[in-house]
Amino acid sequence: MIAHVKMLAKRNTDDNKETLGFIFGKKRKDGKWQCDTLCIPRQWGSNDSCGIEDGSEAELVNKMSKMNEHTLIGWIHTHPQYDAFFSSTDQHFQFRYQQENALFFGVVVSFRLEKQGTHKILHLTDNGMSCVNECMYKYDDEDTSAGAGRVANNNESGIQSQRIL
Amino acid sequence: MHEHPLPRDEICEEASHVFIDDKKRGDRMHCIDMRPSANPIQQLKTKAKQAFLETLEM
Repeated sequence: MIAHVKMLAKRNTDDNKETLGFIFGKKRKDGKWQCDTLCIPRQWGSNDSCGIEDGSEAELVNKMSKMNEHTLIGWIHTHPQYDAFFSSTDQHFQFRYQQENALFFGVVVSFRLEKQGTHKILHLTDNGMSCVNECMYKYDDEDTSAGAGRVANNNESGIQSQRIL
Repeated sequence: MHEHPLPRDEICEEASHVFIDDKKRGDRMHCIDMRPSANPIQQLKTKAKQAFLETLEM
């Protein structure tokens, strides 16, 4: 999956723009989650931020509502010129989802010269969750707020929608 | 962009509950690429439709 993202992101990476994707998975019989679906929404990106385009969220809802048993379990984005880490903006993005789903994770793929293609799979610690929750800056207040939207999340009880920043 | 008061490694950690096996072959992975660049024909159709609508407005 990560190799696939690297390939899909190549043009953006060459243009020094971040690329964003959402990871969906389904629960296996052994209780583990299998990530098997990647969704790349219509999006905008810059050298240090990215988000989904207005209107793309409705398409996402439509697509995902047709995929039974799949749940939004993570997100992935690239850093064309930085290491693989969560920026403060990424931390807010992660926070909103981790609040809803403690298993939610984020993958950051770095394309910085010496770290070409290395990635980290991250989530927020308990302290991190408190820190971001108390932060006076809200994601919507930042210049990356154009990524606002909604996406479908299928779970055992049916389709739910989740706020995407 | 702003900085949070705690060091980054206190805010974030590796998600040890997740393992992505990129080397495993045979697993099916679906990719839904909704970007216009992923579908150049649709992109052309959208542009043509926009041009047509602009003509009507004129």
